[in-house]
Amino acid sequence: MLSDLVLPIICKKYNITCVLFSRDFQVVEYSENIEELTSIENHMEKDDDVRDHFWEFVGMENQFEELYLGKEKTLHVPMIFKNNNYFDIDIEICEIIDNKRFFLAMFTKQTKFSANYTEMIQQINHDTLKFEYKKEDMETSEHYYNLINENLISFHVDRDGIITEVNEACAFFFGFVGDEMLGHHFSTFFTSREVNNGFVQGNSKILRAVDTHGTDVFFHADIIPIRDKKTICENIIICQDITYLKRVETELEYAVHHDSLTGLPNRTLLLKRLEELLAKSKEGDELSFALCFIDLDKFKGVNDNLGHHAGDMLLKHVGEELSGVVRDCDTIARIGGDEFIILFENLGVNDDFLPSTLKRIEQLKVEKPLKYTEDIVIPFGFSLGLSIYPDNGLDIKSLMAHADKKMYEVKKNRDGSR
Amino acid sequence: MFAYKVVLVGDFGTGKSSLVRRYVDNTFSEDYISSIGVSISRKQLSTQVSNTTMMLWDIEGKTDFKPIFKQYLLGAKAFVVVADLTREKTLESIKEHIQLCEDTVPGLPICIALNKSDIKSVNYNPQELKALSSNIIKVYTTSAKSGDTVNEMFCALNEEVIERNN
Repeated sequence: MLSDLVLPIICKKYNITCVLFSRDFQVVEYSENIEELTSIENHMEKDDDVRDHFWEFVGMENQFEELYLGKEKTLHVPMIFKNNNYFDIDIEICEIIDNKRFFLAMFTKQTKFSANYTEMIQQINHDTLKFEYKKEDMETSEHYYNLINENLISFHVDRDGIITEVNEACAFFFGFVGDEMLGHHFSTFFTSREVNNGFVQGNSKILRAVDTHGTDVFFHADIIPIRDKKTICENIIICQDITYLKRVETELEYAVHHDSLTGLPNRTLLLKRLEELLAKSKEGDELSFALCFIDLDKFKGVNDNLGHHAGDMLLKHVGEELSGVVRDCDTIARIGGDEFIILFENLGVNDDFLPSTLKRIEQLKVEKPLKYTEDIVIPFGFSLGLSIYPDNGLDIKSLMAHADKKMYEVKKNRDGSR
Repeated sequence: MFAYKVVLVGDFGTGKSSLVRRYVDNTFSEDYISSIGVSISRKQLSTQVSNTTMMLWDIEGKTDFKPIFKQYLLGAKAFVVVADLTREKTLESIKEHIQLCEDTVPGLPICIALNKSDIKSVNYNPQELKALSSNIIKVYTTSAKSGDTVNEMFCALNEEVIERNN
């Protein structure tokens, strides 16, 4: 179940550990690498209270409830230190199995980059403390500012968002050597979905900028007000490069909506597209679309006789061949073991497209067996069931049920199936 | 068992982590390693009234270039605001930290820990500190190094939380 939501390969590559748990905090499932986060003597079991293993969830009950009720989209707790590593926690709601809803907590282990960042901050604090004990005036200490200056991009903006000061790291990032950035609005150099004219103090924002190589870089920006006689006159913005986190986010987004083996859309994405189509139809658009259920015949035999690798290769092959037949606007989803669904959109009245495409799909059985090795060719067959909106149903459930029924009628009538 | 969250808030280098280590493990180290993010420790407590589990959130202290992350304070049942008796600046920050705690989760009990009492301290007025908020239950002078009044402070906080949540 968990592997349908987050690809194990993504978890491994990006050091992500996942736990799935219910509204009453009972553990449902967890990823294999959970031991990185839990103690050896307190091994996690299914149905345990997740808070017995993840102390950070104690006290968050109200936040979880708001998430469950849809008042919040995600919960984020950054930089939790556990077992000598730092983790960012992201918690989301996911719907699986009979529309039951669960919490999915994803713990992302910080990379070497963050470890360096952590060491840098620790060094700055260590040196600052040493200076404070020496009673030096930190506000004017050149050494203190140099420590920050050399390592973090930072700039000052006035109330209107005009840059009044930049540090060396910031000028270097954009390829400047002098004061070229001063007097310009910060949006000349940085873009943000969250910030328009000025920054709001005390908040963190995501900024984006293009470096001298033309690469998009994302920053987590801490916004700190500078007070002058109790009046906030400027903000200092300190930026940390989080580009790698944005890449993880993009890959996770992809993983949530795609099948890990074939790369095809999964059930979640298919249902999302169906819901969008039905919503359009309710808004008055006259739409016709079709769902085509495809179930491979004798697939178990391939796994049993030639091994699971051969079975996996056959599923990938079928996915690729089906993709070659349909149009770009259609969706082929793998929804389970050997089951695929094709969503054909934009069907016209008296259109020949659907019958001719179904005919071409049937021909794949004969024309496109899988050449597994030089010696082994794996033929495949499948049963197919169709339902058309609005003729065979007006909602997802009835359309799916109709196509499923038709497919099993074909399978039942086929000699030797399964 | 009643489990709840206590957050230690304060400037960097005031000894938040040392107070937690002294209270939870009864240990102390002279080496200063600045905390980044948050680390959570657990202390199980038995009183005549009940058994409780205190989850201690030792969060990254405030610096001139990094404010305290509010998210860490959510869901707490009590706060400990920690200052360093040898650094006046950290005592001046107490008001700001109390404000942050009260803005994030209003009405919770707050203890003030004036730490490093084993070293020569700057001048301060405990009454003035106590008067900063009606939520302050007591101002303690603590030493994570010697262990002075550390247990006493956390036990008092535990009793206050139990009383308020019964």
